[in-house]
Amino acid sequence: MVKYILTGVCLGVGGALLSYFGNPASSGICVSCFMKNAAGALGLHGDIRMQYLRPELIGFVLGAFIAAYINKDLRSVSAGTFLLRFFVGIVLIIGCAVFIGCPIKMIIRMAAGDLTALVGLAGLLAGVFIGLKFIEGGFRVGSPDAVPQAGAYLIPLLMGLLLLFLLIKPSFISFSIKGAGAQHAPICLSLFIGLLIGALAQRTKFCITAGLARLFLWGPRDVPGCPTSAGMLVSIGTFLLSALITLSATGQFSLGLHGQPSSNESYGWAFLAMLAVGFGSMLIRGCPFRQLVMAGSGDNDAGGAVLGMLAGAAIVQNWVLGGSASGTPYNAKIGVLVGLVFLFTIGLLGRERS
Amino acid sequence: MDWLDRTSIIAIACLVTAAFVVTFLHRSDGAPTETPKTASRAPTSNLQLSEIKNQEKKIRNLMESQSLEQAERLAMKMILKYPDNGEPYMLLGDIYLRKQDVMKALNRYRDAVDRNPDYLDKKTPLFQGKKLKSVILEGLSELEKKVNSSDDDELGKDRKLIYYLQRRIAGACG
Repeated sequence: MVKYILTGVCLGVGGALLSYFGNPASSGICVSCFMKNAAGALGLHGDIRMQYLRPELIGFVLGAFIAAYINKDLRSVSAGTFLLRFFVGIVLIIGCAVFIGCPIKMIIRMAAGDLTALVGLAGLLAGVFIGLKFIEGGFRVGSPDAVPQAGAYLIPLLMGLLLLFLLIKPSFISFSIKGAGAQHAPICLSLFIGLLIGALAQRTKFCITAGLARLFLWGPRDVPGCPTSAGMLVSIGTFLLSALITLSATGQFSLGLHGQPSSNESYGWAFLAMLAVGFGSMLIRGCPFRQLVMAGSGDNDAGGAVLGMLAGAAIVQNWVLGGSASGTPYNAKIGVLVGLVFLFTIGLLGRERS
Repeated sequence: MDWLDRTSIIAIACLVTAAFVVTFLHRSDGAPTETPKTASRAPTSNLQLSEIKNQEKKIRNLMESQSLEQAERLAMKMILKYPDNGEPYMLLGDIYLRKQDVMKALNRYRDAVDRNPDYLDKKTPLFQGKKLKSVILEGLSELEKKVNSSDDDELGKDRKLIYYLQRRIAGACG
């Protein structure tokens, strides 16, 4: 149980400190925002305000890799669903972009007093519920089999390369001088927190959607009887609590519905967007953060999800599929609806029927 | 075909219908089919920039000498000539503020910020975050006064404007 509490505390305190020391407000940790920044730095989109190779993202994968390697848990596995996870990864980022945050950022926003994040939580819970029904109804992504061990090193190597680019700053990698991409905590702090969280998340298999799913699977009364379920929920709870305390102590807490950073008044679309994120996460066995950790631990299919999220981040910026302070643009609404149609379709087609 | 299949098919049909409805509503609102990307506007040429700077000086001088009507006319002409540049809107906002019309000023500031997010970015020389925050506070106190007297529609619009600017400032680096 200690490791679960430690994971939650590191996430909460780390997320709050990162925004205190330079990351955008309420975005101390956000997989979707960081993916958009990374895509911009790599030249996959042209938004000059969103270009930075976030060390936190690199840290999550490398931290998980190091923890898996040390504990002899690094296994190259694949269930042959690389392409499926790639496309679901795109849908996850579209959903996160419309909500203006991934499930991790949703918790941080809630801890910062942003009441609009509760709409996202409701959507996420609904999506997790729907995904569970498909899994109970026979949806399978196949069981992971061992594949050549070289596959386990690909995503960690990619992240290592990005770390090198971040440090030496070659001319073909862009770095914003203004806007959200220019707001970042010191590299050492970001990398340290990323590595720590990645390692702990690898050991505890931390995942927000999996934790919430266990509430539906076990019910609130029986959850304490299952150590893993209880541990996951304790992680989420301590994450929220420690973020709340740290954000309050650093003057970043402001309770209210209006004037919150990374929010808008498109509550219906925020709900649907997080429903897509919850649903998609259940189908591919993990939220966006969990995909990074699994990819660092050797899961080749999760690597597909990570690359899909990167591609999705580029698509979101190029096609204006994300929400903003003014609301949800038309393209983003269609993106969410098409994403949901895609998820229901693959849910239907992926069911094993006797 | 079990209940999950039936529910999924109904959900897909509803989602596709929703997409058509959203598209229909979007087109009937008269909105452009392409969503403008504010980050990739065509850059203003150096000649245009120097002309804008000269006009800005003239307008500021007129404001100092209390010739607000003339300043407003000049600012309006600038908007017609440079509709995508934020500076004319920022100037017009300052003029309305001098005229004590806070809500009109906030509307122009919104237009300026939408065209150039640098006004909310502390790392740029155009940063105006502190001024905008204080004008928003003035707008909020005006809203409170209006609660009993104004009609709901106007109040709703003013409130939305203030909340929007508050969100923009909260999410910016400033």
